[in-house]
Amino acid sequence: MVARAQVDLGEIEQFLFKEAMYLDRGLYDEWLDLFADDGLYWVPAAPEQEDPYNHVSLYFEDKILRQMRVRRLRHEQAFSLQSPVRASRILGNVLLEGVDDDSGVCRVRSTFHMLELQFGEQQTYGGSYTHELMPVADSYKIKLKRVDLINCDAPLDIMQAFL
Amino acid sequence: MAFNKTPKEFRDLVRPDRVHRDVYLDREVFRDELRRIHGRAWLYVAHESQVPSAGDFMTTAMGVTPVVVVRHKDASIRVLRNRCGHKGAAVVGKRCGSAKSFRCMYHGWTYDTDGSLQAVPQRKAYDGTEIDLNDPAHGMTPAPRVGTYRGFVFASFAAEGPELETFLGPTTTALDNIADRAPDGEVEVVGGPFRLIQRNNWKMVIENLNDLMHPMVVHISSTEAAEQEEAELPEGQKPPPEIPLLTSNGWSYDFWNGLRVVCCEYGHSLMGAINTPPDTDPVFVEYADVLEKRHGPHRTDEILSYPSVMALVYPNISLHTSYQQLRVIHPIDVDRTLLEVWTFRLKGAPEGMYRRCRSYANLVNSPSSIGNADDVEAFMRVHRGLENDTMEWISQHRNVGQDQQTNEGVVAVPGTSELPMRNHFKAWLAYMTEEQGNGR
Repeated sequence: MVARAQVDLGEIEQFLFKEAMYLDRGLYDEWLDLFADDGLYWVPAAPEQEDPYNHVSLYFEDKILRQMRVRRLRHEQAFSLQSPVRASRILGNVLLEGVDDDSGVCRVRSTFHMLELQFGEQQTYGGSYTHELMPVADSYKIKLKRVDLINCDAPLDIMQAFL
Repeated sequence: MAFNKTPKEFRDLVRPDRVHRDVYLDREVFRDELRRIHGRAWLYVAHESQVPSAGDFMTTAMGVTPVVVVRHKDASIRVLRNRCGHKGAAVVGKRCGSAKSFRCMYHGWTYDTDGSLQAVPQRKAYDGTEIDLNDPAHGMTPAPRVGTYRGFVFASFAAEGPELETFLGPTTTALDNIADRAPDGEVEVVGGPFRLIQRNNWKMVIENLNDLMHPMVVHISSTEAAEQEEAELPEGQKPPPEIPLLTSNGWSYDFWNGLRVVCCEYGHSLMGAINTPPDTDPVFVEYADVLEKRHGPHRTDEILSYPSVMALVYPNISLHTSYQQLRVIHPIDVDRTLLEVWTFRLKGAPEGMYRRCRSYANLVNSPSSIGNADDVEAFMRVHRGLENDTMEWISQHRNVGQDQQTNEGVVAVPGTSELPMRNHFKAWLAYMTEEQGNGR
């Protein structure tokens, strides 16, 4: 039994900030390592999308697909990355939505705004993150990172890195 | 109707083995294309499953003209120009919905679902003036021709021209196949599409669909990423289906040369199947059983071994038969194109079959696709590179003179021939130069 009062919100915030920093700095090995083995990275293609199975998604990646994307991000002949992708994001409004009694998995919602340099031009993205974080030893592992873009169903440019 | 360029000027832009860069760069040419090609050809607009009941509607565009696809009271599907006959405002603001009539938000002009003008507030104010509100021109003028093939709805802004089936020609077999793969004989659209903006002329997207010389070059980063991932899988772990889909782009020129690409009239084409080993995925095996119970082994085999994986219906759709998805190519501007990707569920098939379709779409057609990113980069570079004044003509010479005439159409010999591009421009020139031209 994990009581909500036992969850250290400061620790959760630090975890989310660290994850954002890994992505902004392109520290992908460190980022991949934040996920549980069965962890999922999911960016729905429709607002309020119920699940990643009965509708297409902008991203729906397990460990293998995340690793594959990272390998491509580092590939010498990833031509579309010759104009480098750089990102800067800020997140806030961190809200603990719930804690699972049995597993202690915390469901955390936050809001993000993000700038990304792509094809030499600046893109803006924004929306909400929903993290399901599983407590381990002295930290957490990501069971699910869901990214709801406010423009998920609008015309989008190519997206190459992670949101 | 006045055009920017004369037939002679268009003929000067297209040779049998090359095209002038202005076909991609010149905004006047683009404006003429919208009228002469998208203003006449049969264009895919929707699937019947998106407007199942009377009053159901969705909005889309034919060329750059906004339209509403709506199921009228008599159950027929109408395609209406989405503009009010008064000041031209787009009448329908929602992407989709259901309505008994359409009322303009500006001055309240109201239209029936066949586009006819039903009501005008203070109608008497027009008495004694020269406007005739009964003139159909003041309605949401419908596309004069709408046709449906196996649930796929097409419309044409031209009152006259080839019948839909004549226009589709051999590509009807691909539309048949996508529907026949459903045990119930029909498919339905699932949810919304991917919408991807590209910074290039619309024709570059179409050309790439049959360009079999590019995969091993353009896609090397995603191909090798998948190969590395496969090599490092734990012993005994079966690679996920995404891996072979990406690594197949790296196959040799010999393989691509052997693919059968059939080019048909009106600029269409059919491309041979890529992956044809017997599918051992349990979901697929269960599905094949369901299909066999309906049709017996012979017909089932015929459906599942249909030889074309991709069909292009020029100028606006590409259809993937074995993964049930459809790409719609919307020209936005001379250097901007919107690609929509719709996915379909096979009615009567086990639910797992949609998951295969969905995972293929996520991998290959999502804006985040690690494969497509490099295609889009290539199109953008071509569009930018053509601004260079020292190169006026774009070569389409590869394997000229080796095409093989068959009953279905002209076959590219070998598969990597630039015949498909030459075939597109043959249709393009017919649309652009002939008064009654319909791309034939």
